Amino acid sequence: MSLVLNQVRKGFHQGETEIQVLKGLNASIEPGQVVAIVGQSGSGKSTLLSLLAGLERADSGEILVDSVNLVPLSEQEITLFRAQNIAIVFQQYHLIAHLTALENVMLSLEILKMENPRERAEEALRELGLGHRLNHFPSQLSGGECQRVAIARALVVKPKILLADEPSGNLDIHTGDMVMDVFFDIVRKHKITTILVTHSEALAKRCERVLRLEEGQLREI
Amino acid sequence: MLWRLAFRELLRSWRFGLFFIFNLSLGLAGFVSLQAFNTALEDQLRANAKSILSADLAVSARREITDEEQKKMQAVLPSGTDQSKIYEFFAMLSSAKGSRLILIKAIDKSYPFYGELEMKSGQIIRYGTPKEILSSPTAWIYPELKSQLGLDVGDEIKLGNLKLKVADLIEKDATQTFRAATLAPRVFINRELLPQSGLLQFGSTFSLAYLLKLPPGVEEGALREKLYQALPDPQITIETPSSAGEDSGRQLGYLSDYLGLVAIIALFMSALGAAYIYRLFLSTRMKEIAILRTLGLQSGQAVGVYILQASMLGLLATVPTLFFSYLVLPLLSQLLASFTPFDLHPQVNLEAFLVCLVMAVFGSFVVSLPFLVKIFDLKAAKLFSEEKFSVNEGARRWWPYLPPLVLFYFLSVYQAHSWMTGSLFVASMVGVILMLLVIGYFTVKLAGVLKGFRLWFLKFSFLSLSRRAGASLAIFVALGLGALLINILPQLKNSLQAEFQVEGRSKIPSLFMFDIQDEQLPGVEKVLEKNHVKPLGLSPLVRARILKVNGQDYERKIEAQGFKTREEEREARFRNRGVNLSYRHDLSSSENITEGRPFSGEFKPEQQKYAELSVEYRFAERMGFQLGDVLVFDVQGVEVEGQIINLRKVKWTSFQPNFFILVQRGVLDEAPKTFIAAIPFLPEEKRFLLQNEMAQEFSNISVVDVVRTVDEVLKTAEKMSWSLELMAGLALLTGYIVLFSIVRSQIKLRRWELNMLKILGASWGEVASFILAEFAFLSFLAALAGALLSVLVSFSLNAFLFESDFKLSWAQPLVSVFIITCLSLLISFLASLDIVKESALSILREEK
Repeated sequence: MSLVLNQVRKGFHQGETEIQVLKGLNASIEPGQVVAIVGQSGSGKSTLLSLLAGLERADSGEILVDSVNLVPLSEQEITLFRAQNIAIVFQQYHLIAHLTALENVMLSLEILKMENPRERAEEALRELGLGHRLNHFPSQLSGGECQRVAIARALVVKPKILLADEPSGNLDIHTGDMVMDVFFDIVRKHKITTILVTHSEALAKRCERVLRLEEGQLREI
Repeated sequence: MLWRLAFRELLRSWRFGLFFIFNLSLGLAGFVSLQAFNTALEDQLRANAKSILSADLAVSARREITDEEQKKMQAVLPSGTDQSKIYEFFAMLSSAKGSRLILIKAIDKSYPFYGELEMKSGQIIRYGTPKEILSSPTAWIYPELKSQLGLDVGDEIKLGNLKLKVADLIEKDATQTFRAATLAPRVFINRELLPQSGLLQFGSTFSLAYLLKLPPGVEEGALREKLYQALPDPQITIETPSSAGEDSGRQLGYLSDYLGLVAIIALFMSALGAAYIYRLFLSTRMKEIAILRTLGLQSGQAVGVYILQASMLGLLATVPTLFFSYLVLPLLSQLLASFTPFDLHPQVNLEAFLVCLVMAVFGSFVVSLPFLVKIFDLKAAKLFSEEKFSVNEGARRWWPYLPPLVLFYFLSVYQAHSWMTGSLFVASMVGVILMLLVIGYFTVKLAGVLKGFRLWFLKFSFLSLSRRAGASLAIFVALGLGALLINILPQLKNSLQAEFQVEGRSKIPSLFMFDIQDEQLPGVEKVLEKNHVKPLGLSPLVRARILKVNGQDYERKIEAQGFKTREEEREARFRNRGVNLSYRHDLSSSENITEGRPFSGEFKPEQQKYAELSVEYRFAERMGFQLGDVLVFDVQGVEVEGQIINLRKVKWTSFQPNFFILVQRGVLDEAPKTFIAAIPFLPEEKRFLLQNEMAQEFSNISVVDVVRTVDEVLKTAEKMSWSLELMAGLALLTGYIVLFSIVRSQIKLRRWELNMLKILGASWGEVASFILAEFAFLSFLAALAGALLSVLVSFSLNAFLFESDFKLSWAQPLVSVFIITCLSLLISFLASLDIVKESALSILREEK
């Protein structure tokens, strides 16, 4: 699934003043490409990710996923589109505390009314090396394991686009590397268009393209 | 610094503060309103105490004061004491317009020393006013006789052998207090006319009082003590204005005690809600406290900040409490005003305000205590990790729950004015909560099993219910308690009404005739036979007084300082009175033996040392009698010894002639006695005619219209139940606010989860259904459990406290289950509305 950003603008009001975060941003990402977005804190990386996920609306411009422009879609339409095409991996994992690893992964399949949720969730967790932790609650898992459950939850619905926000940001280097190895293996194996927001130069280098967000614009590195 | 921190944070969390204050104040409002009402009533009673007694001191007895006692009394009284002698007794009034049981008040020229009577003619009767009834054969009557019989000024009435004309109607009588039911309207006559009336014969029940007006400077209390010493017979009562005021406020006091307990339930529920909100608030502050700790704040100081905050919130809660009280008070006063002759204008006075202040400030502290101590367990090191701060971690302590429990217990005893009722109330509340916890536990377990639904939101809402067991249980108990409360009162009322309904009434007597003299018995039987009426029974009544119990003198108990609890008051009252004895071969259908054996037959003096006695078990409890105790009675100067061989339970609502003490046959058969006759069910017209004929033929025999009495009791019960329902309504409203608080807190805690569902693709409707399914299941089962438990509690109260049959009506509890479930769904829907509609992003931006 291709992704095209055309003159995307987004600003916020802070009291009387308006701060322009994204100032007519342009980019084009090919299907199956794994792209890193780097930038300083406050440069607008998370805002960009929110726009791509349809969680926030651009002030102007176009966000074309294949040929569908997300900007004019209604709340309901964008929820449906996101559910069918886009998955997100968060830095803080955001797993539901009272559900086991298996139930957390099954939940997204069941919301989308997909067939055989249990089998598919088990398979996804095994693929991420968590076959022995299926019935553990998030509080009983390590940070690395939680993030792998979150990745399994995102990938199990076979999204066309994966948005990842500092997925190894909360993990130590060794664990982060291990998790990201699995992450890259799977997204490449399944040819998922991936946008990875990170501060880590090393992680960015593992992507096919690196874009820097500066002064509201994306620049190729 | 602590003040500044506390104040600043409170300002920042103003939404929490408002909600906390609102919760607490709603519960406090009932409590404070009742306090204000009681204070107003007590003030009025105190202000009118001399009018109620009509004297500085009154020496009264249910018998004549002997010459010797007279001498002793006069010796103690200071010179210059003015005296008035009055009699009060029930009698039959007959007239051309019908007959009616009345209460005669036979007075003399000195009456009343204090207070006044307002007459229809406009005349005010007070001390020294010339009285028409003393100078001519006339009487003053209460206005009820005008409404009931159509009597008016100038009509002739017959009281025994007396024929009197109605001189005036008494519009307002300052000597009367509690007016629950006008069973026997008062008629005032000249005391000098009593001998010729023939109304007071042997065995007649009457009350005689010497009203005393003391010279200035005499201390009533001290004189009362001296009189007690001079007149040791417990049958003689000596009352001061304050004791008379207390006595007359007693009936209203009982009602207010029960209202107080319902008010405590409201307070309990609001405290539950406040605690829940506070827990949520503190859990959002734990991280901040951890940061403050790293900056040098001690744990104790942090606790201090929050204690200050809780106190400030308590202080602020007094404002809406007073506002709500101003709304509740007029309603409460209107409902209770009909029971008192005074115009009550209760205000939240200083005393009620202080109670409110202490309760609010101390209550807030006590409610927050179990969570505040968790600050000591806080691990600031968590700031280095991504772990979430929570109020659930750390050591489990039970002691912080002790102060709320102790406070609840003492408040219950304070409101009920009874250790027993208060303790029973707390024990039943704890029992009911435990039962709800057990049922709730199984409900949560059931939710865990019920997860095989096709629809994901149903499946995951049941899963969520079982996994969040603590929160689910809290909601279950709060809802269950609410359902229990609203169902108990109507069910008790149903049972009480059913007891007196048509089917029941055909079983109860329609008339009671008492004071039938031995020699009048054949005449009475003849009148009944002529009217084709067969009495249900004729019970002899022998007046006696207890002299000794197990060889110990049975003496008067004097409580100079007043009674602290109803139990003390009741015991003293019972000790001070004589007893009515009766005898019969077998027990009636309304009695059964709970302990001991039946009578062995007729008394055999050659074989038996003591006569056999059967005592009503509650009377025995109050008097401290036990099976096997030996009692000595004075029966008209003759000592009779008896031993308790059984304790018996009496169904008083059967309205059969029943007695506290029954003596074996063959002991009192020859003693001077009167008879009580119970007349079976009769149609109204026949009842009216028989009553008139009896009044014409036997003027000293009093006839009580049981049917009318029951109606009056029911009307009074209805009025009382309205005031109870007002309080219960307040408790219910508080319950729903608490429910709203709990549901809202729960949903707030889960904002993140709900939004995660949205990010994963769940629609708005599915997220709403996820919440509603959870609350529908929980509220339906909680309401059902509460309603079923209310049936159990009502049954127990009926069986053990009121001792009447339980009338089960399913419609009431089932309708309440439906309403509570629907209301809960509505509340959870409203509470979740803005959160469900919230943008998913805003939540993800917030910290977990």
